[in-house]
Amino acid sequence: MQGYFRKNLWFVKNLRLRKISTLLIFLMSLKNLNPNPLDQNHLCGLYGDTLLSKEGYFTLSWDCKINLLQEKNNIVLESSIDSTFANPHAVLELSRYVHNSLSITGKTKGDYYYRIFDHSEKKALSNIFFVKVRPHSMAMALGYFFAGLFLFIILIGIIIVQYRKHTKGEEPCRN
Amino acid sequence: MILLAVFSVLWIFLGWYWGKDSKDLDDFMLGGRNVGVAMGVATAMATWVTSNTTMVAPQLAYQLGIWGMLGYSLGSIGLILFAPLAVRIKKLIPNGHTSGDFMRLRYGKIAWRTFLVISLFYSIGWLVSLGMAAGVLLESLSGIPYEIGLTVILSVCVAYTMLGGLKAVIGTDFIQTIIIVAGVSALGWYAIDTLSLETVYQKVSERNSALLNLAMPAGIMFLFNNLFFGVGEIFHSNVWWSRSFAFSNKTAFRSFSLAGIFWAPIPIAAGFIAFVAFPLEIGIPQADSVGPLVASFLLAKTGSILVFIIVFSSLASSLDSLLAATSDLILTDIYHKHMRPNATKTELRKKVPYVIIILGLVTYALCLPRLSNLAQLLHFTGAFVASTIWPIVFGLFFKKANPKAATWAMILGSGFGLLGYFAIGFYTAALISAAVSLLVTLIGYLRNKVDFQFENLKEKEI
Repeated sequence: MQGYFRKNLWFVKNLRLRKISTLLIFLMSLKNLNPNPLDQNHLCGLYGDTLLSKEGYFTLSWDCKINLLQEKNNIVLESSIDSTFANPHAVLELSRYVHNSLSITGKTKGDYYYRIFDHSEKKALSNIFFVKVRPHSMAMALGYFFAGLFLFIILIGIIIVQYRKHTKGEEPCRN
Repeated sequence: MILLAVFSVLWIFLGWYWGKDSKDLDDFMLGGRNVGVAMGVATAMATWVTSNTTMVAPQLAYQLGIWGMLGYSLGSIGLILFAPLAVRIKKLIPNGHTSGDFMRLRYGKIAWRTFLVISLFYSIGWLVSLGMAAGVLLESLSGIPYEIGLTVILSVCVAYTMLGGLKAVIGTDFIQTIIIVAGVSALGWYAIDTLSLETVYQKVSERNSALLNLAMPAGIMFLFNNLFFGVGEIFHSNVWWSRSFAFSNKTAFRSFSLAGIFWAPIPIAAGFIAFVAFPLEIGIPQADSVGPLVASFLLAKTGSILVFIIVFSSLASSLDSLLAATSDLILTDIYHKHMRPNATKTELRKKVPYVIIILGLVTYALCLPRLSNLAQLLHFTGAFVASTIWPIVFGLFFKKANPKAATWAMILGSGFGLLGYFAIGFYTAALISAAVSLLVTLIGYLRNKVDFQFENLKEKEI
């Protein structure tokens, strides 16, 4: 946090402002905590912006100790619904990918495992990153939906009725 | 680089050209209070098509699927519902300059100051997100460093807003609307033409089936939340109030309602582009970059140029409007009403350029560190702006709307909205805020025994 502060908010001289800015940034960063920094046992560290997604989307990121991904072919980001990767699915061929993060989306309820795998040498290059997708309950979603609908009907009702009442007998303003 | 230079020179020239006769404060701030329908529709549309529409609409379609795309287009409801409010505003406050004028005269100083805090927080948050988007987009599409892209776009917008005021903003908005609508339509059409709808559907349903599921809980929750976020943004913001004052009596209703109707398909066209990422197997590093990345991939160099032109236009059309409206709010509600109550119109007119420059510099300073989480700050504002909806609607139509309740509605609505933001998700903040705010406003209305006289809103001209 302090390093980030020194790097990006050096221009804030006032102590109280500094504290407020730091607190604000900390609060804003809570949702982006990096739960799994570079793994010491692997060449690459694989991590994500959340361990539990209620929306079915999340972002995976990776750091490699050397510029491995550009030097080798057949390095793939794989996903599986079990931790043994018995039936893995290739998400992305990393040797042709210039970024070090990937936005994953549209996932239904379930457990998802990810790893970076070298198919030439048949070995995993990263730790396994595990994310749970547990959508909100349908009852909760419908509760919000109907609450929103109710508020919307009230809003439209008030505006239409009051607008008509207050412009009654006047020349229509829309002409 | 050449394209950037051409557009920069064009906007500044047009700003100077349209604003060269704006000597009077009303001319500069409110375009002489006589803007016609065509310009009215164009400026409302262009302002509402922000970098958020061209970047966040695809992002929401990418993350929340069909509901994300449709939910974003519900932002048009805010514009449509503002049409009758604009007529009422013009009738009640014919000499008004800002949304702050209404809050001050209708609810008194405490509610007014609470409102100013919310409105300025929202405006700065929006300005910073636009400035950052400018830098990030130029960097990702053309390789121009973030700081240079940010500096150029912000300087251009500050320059032509300062030179021409609202007339320049509305004039450039007209051209920018044509560019945005044509560009987004061309991109959407090309995407459908290249990959059939069937292919897109098949690929999305293979591994990202939740996006096509109409029973997706987060998507369902997002729908009305986004509607109330949009309504809150429009109902409270001086960007829209200044347009109400600027439009002639006969054009306000038609301008806002038509702009809303024409705007609605734009997020759907922009959002659809996100679905194309799946059949094309494009890796998306961050969800908010899905639109530009797909466009560049689909149309190669032409795509990058097209996206650049669309986004530059949408950024400029919102940045200029926001700079103009926020500087009006600062000049009228803070400088004039708090610091120099005896200032004349001529004096205030002379201060306008300084306020715009200072606002531009503040935005620049906040954008420069490139705080990645400032995009979240914009979602944050949903809780604040939605809390202002009911105090404004009740205040415009009901004599018994209560000043104390209006203040508490804004404070408690914002508080509970923020709670929802952290405890549940960004897609609940505005809805919770609006619900709490309605409850408080309604209690205040039922308990109030004093009738407000709407004649009191007709303040003398400065």
